[in-house]
Amino acid sequence: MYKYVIKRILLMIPILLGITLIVFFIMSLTPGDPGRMILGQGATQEAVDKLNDEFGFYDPLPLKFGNYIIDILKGDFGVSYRTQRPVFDDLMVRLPTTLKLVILSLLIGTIIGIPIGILSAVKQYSALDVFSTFFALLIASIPTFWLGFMLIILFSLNLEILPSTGLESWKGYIMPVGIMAIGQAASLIRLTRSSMLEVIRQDYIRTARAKGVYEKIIVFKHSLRNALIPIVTVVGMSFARGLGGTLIIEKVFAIQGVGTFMFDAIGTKDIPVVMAGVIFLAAIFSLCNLIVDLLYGYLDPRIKAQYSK
Amino acid sequence: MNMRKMFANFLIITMLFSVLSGCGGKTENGVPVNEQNAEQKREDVVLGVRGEPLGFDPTQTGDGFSNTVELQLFDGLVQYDENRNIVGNLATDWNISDDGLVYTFDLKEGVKFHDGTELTAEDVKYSLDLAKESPFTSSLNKMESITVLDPYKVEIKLKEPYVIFLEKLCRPDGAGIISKNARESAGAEAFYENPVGTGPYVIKEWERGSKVILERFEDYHWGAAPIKEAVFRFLPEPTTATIAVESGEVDFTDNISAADIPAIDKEKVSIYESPSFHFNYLVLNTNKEPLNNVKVRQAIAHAIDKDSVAISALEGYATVVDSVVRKDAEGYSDSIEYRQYDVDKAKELLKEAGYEDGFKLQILITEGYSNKIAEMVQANLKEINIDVSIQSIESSAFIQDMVDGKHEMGWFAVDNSTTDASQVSTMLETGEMYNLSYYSNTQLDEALHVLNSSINPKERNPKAELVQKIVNDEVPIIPLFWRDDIFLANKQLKNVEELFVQFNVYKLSW
Amino acid sequence: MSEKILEIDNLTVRYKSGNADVHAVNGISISLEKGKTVGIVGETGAGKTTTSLSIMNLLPERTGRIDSGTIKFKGKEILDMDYETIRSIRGKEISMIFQDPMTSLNPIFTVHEQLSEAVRMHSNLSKEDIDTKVKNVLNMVGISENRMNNFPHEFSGGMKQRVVIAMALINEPELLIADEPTTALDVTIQAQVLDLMKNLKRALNTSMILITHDLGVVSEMCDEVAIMYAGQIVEYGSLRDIYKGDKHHPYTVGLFGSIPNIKDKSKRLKPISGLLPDPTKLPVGCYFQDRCPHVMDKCRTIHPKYYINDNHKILCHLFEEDKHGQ
Repeated sequence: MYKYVIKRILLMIPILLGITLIVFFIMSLTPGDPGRMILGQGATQEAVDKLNDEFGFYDPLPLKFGNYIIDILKGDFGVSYRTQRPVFDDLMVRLPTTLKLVILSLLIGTIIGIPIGILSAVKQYSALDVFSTFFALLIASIPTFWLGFMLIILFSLNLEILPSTGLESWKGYIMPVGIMAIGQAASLIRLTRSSMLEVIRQDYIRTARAKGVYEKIIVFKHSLRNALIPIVTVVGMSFARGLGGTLIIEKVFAIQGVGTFMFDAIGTKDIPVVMAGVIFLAAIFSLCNLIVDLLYGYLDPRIKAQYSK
Repeated sequence: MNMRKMFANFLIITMLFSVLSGCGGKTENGVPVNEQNAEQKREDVVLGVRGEPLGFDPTQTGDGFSNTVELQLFDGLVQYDENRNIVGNLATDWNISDDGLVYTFDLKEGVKFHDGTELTAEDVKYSLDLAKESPFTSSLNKMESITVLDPYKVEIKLKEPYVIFLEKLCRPDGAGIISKNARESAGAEAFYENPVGTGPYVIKEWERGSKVILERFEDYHWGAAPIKEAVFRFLPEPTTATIAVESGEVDFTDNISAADIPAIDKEKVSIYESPSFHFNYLVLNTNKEPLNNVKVRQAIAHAIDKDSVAISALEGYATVVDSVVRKDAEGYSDSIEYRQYDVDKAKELLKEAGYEDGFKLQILITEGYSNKIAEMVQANLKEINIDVSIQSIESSAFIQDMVDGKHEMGWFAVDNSTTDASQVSTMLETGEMYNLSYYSNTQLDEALHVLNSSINPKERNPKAELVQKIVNDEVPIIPLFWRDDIFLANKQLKNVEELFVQFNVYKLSW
Repeated sequence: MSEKILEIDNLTVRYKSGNADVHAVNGISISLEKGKTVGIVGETGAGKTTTSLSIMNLLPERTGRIDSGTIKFKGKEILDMDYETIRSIRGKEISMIFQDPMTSLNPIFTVHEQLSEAVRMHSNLSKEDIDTKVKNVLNMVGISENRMNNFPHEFSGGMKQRVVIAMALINEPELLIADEPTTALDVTIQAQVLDLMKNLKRALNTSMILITHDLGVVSEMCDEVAIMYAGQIVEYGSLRDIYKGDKHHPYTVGLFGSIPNIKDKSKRLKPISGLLPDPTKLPVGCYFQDRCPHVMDKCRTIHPKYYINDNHKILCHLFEEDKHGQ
């Protein structure tokens, strides 16, 4: 088992390297340069060229890439072209905000979504099942951007009970986390329902019932633990995706998180930030992948056996 | 659970909701507070801006957001009054040599920096020396040298005459005077975040990603500001900012989206508008056929309904112009017969040019309202058989393509913080990087040269007239409009209009 | 007459389905004496599994419907029992073994856990006592104690079925229902498992219902046989009646005829032509009419009644005149 873990961790390295290379290459193909971005339209070409040169912008591509990798290995992710501060510091300022949003919404979404999904499956075709499936589909179809502004107009403008922007007080969290949580809940309801339904159909559930096992135990011990396997994957990867996917929420509610950090950097061709952001997100993704796979092994002994081969 | 029970629950929840919506009062800074005592006047103001500053050193920052805050922290040698006339700030008096190359300033005595030390000519020299070399303040690179004549007298020599030099000195976000002592002892990096100037405000707290809080400098040389605390909140989305003002969380914002205006509740907020320095025009690439034919260009000029374009793009929050020089600017000529919207004339001209059946034309635009402009132009030109295809690309690629001359027709805009006629040279002088029409006319070049080097109105005005005539005759560009600045503010906030001159929180009060 | 442990009387079971209902069981009656084994034989789809599920009221909740009939276990009516009563019977007084050992065990729990659970659901024994029981039953089915904490996937098919049997027997039930317990196993393992079951039955005096389509298995294990066709018992009798008797339902004849016989010189098997009738649209008259070599006009309009001779019942018009044994 340990061999498996180590193998996976080692595998992360070529993956991250590959991703870095691809993004680096793509960024180099896009037009625009940092000098012009920072100094603006009015600056002279000489000033722009000088600044670009300082940034090493005119170095040949392989050299640029090589230097970059060497710096990373030293732990130096470079300095943002725009803010002149170490990228790492800027990222760390924004990370807690995004983390709070993602973790809270994931937690709430899971607490709402999974039980409703279980109930829907156990009481298939009941009124609850029909309502919740419909509701889940509805939420999944509504664009976040639109929902965000609609809620702001309702709660901030008309009812005046929630702030429209920022995370000053706990009230500021309600709408952004709410929207994200409902989205999570919606997809979890559908997933839990279908996963549970599949498990409930299995022969071993019938065996358990024939053994005289109490219904509650059949649902929670026998069925749920088996049904959890795909759910765990989705939740784990939701976390990873969430870290980089809060852009729209951040824009609507004027929250400074990792999403806007990266998006704005792409627009200003702030290459160090883009690269660092991509590497960071890719690393988190791979790590989440690994953790989810390990959890799999813990939940399903057949998978664990495969890992030990 | 059966259907009836569920419906009952649903009703209960809905009723609870309605009850809750009756509660809650006004919010301030996102945190609900009790109703303000009507007699107690507020001493703070919350301003919503579109982005976050990078730092607060005027010689090391060029972005609008840093500049906005710097305007509150520093003073320039001169400043604008409410009518945009230039009056003294840190300088009490000045003299300009006849050749326009030497400016001599007498400095005010007893001006205190934020750290309590006094301003002297050394600080002025130090600040302007930095500005001279900085890529962020390239317009000030025209200074050749700054000399201290005595502790309260400074002499600035220019490399060449610069008509709008004094206007540039009105900008503390570029030409702001900083404390030599503070910057030298703390070091440039520390000063970047902890500036020391003479301005009406100091930085109290900078919460990255959220806001920067300024508090008033009690010993400000023009008297302490009416507003004790100014909070700049970073709200990137214009719609979000608009809603925040309406809900009372924010007292003021600028740069909102014109499209949001019709929906705003005019009972709750005040809307202010004023022409800005943002000049929008259409570029005609004279290197491409058939735009190389002057009659074709003239025809196009007559075919465009500028009023419709302005309404479509900015809900009419713009000042439409005929001439490349604005009506209220020095040198505007009203004796020229500027081309008007006249479809018949346009058709006639096209016929004369031999393009009666029209042709295909591409217009290059980028993100934002230029899309609406292009759509209107497309509709207008259809009337004279010109088939316009709209190509929209991302902003940095857009600028690159225009500079490379890949466009046929294009939209463009400049903002040089001035309406002075000399700025036409950036658009149309031979060889200029942003001469996107690739137009070359020696007469025009010569006139522009005079406009840029002379400060004598008697010399300049005839040349300005000539420039306007040539542009109107030859139509290398088609002037469209000057965009309006729009401010949205709490109804009780006073003197908001003064912020159109310059974003000085010092002028605001309740 | 010894005591009857199970009495099924005129049981009818239907599966509800959107378009048309499936009539799976159409009036069957079985009477089982304590200690005896009855074999239920028939093709796939004859209604054997449905019958066995009904006994413990394990039909799928939403679709399964018992339309009529009674099921008495030790004199008490199963269909009237409340949830807790029947739950306590399941796995303790009546146990069931299902067909496919590969999917009958929960993959994420150890064998020890699944066996102890069976005990825990019906008693308050201490951990040590439960442990002892588990070890004993594993020994009984011939699985080493050391494998107690293995997971199902670590066992072969035959061993898995032994675990299933162990799980069914750990609480020493009075009635064991085995639904095709050896069908999914290969022949050598089949023999082992059958032997095991025989020995256990003898040791614990368990009554058994054995469902199979394999006549060979029936002859080894059963005291009585019920031949099922289209949800009905078309012939019922003692092992002797069915195997050695001279009167048979045509379907039974067909079944026996389709068994390969090594002594037979013929080159082809003699299967029964045709298929079971559509359970959503059962015909008027005898359900076997389309496949019966002796079909008469009467068969197509009137449903046959039972011809009874002692304990041998045959559901066929052919024996009408012999109604009372003549």
